Amino acid sequence: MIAIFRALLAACRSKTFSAGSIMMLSVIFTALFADWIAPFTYDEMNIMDALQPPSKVHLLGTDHLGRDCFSRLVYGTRIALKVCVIAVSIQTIVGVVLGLLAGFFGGWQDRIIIFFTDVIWALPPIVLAIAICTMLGPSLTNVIIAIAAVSWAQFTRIVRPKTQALKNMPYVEAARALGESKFSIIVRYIFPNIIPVTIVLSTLALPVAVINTTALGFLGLGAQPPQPDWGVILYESMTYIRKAPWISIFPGLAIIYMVVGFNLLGEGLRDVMDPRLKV
Amino acid sequence: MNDLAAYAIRRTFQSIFIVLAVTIMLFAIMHMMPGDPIQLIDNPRLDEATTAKLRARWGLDKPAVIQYIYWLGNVVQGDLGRSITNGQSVSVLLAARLPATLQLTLSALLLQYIIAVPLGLLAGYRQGSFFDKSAVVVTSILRAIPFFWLGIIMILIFAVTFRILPVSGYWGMKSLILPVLTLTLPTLADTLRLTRSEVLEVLREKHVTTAVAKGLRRRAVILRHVLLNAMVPVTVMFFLSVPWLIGGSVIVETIFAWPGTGRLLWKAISAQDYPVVQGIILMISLLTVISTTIGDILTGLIDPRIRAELGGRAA
Repeated sequence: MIAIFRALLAACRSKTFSAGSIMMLSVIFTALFADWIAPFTYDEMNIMDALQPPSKVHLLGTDHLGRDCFSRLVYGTRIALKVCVIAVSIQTIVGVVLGLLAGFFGGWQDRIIIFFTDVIWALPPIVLAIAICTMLGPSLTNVIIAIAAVSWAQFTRIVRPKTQALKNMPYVEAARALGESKFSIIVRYIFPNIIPVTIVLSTLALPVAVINTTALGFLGLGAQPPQPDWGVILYESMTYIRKAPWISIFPGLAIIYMVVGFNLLGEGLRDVMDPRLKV
Repeated sequence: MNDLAAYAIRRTFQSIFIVLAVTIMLFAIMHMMPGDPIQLIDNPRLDEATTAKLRARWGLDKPAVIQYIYWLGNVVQGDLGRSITNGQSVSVLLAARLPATLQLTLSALLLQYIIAVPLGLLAGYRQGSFFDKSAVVVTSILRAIPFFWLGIIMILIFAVTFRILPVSGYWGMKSLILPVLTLTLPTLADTLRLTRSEVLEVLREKHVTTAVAKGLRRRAVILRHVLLNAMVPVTVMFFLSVPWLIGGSVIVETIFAWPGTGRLLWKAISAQDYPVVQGIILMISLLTVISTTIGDILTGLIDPRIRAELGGRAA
């Protein structure tokens, strides 16, 4: 744990990491205090004010139902952050556990896990996510399931060879000779060495999850109106692109801001924790 | 060479297993859907006895495994079932839409390489220069742009504000420009970065130092030693990036009303036309597996170490 803390301190000195963490903190801040930041609620309609360009009252204008675009954008942060954090947590746990098991046990366990990893890896993630969401029906919970289901394989593919290498280290053999159980060897001697790469991989998985969530929302498979998911807002805005371009522009900028922030954070962490990792 | 053939065969078998696993997955998804095709026949005169007879006729009363084998047999013969919305054969629908998708994705792939490879080469060769630094910044922003937003912005700029290009539809070469650009820009970043890092790696290798030391001209070193070696992983990436491009094309086709399989998929999803969804996903998976297999075999052809690694493992 101390090593990780030290690595984080070292990371703070890198510009990439600092810029990324400032950007991410601002996103988290917006999500937490959305109620105070947004002047309106996300579903407050006022048809009289429909399709108004940006003004003092409506900072980013209004949409076709007269809802305040700025407030919707602010509340949308919550959806994006919630979905990507939960989805990435699930895929991290699944991917790392499978990678540890495959790498440690080898044999038929390894072959089965690797086969599933290859199958998932062989398909375009967004297409697989579309298939899963079509099957389960459109909702945010199903988006989380779909994104986690298509993205765990990367963790397994990277954790497995690391585990294989660690398994043969002298100290692991010593633990085995002393009669430690397999479970305890994995948890106490192998897993701690996997933590840095896991942190880097999960941070870099967050931006991908943001893009996939909004893409599914855009295709009508994710959050449903009137929820202010950025993808849903973008889909609805396409009809009014001539009359009200301001509805379309800002949600995209918000996605880019969040994705760039997460990427910088992840790349900064990688440089400190595992510089040779190619992701 | 024998070694390579063994590797190629092993890899191909592995792909066949993967495709089989995908068909099982797709069949399971369709099987778990509530209701079967018979329930969808909306006819008041249909009684219990007839329903049972129809079920027996189409094999729907058999266990799932038998149904899967029937279905797989049909798929192998090119019969993917019929669309629920208009009764057309799914294979015919797909065959009609596939050329447009291939036109879009292949143009995007080509444009991506034409732009990204020379720029990546230059950025890597002049590491640390202003050009290199700006290339890194621009690519990290490009990578963050979602396809669907870029598409909307493209329409806004070129079709609404300046009115120089058609908004959507399929009107010859002119309408190809916006979708191809939308698909190219975000994917270009990865190729540029890969080329750059490969160039950096090759530049550090001893044979390049030797070539410089023995007095070869700069251009000769760059072309013969750096470019050729750096191109190896970049070429392989060409095949491995197909899945991402196909995924992106689903969204891009939806925005630009491009009459390809991606738009068909989106329409089928909205109409809950499951046989069509199943058919398209099966086709996309097949295309993806074929292209990644080619990519992997190419890697093996070039790098004997990978051949040994996979050859030693039972597939």
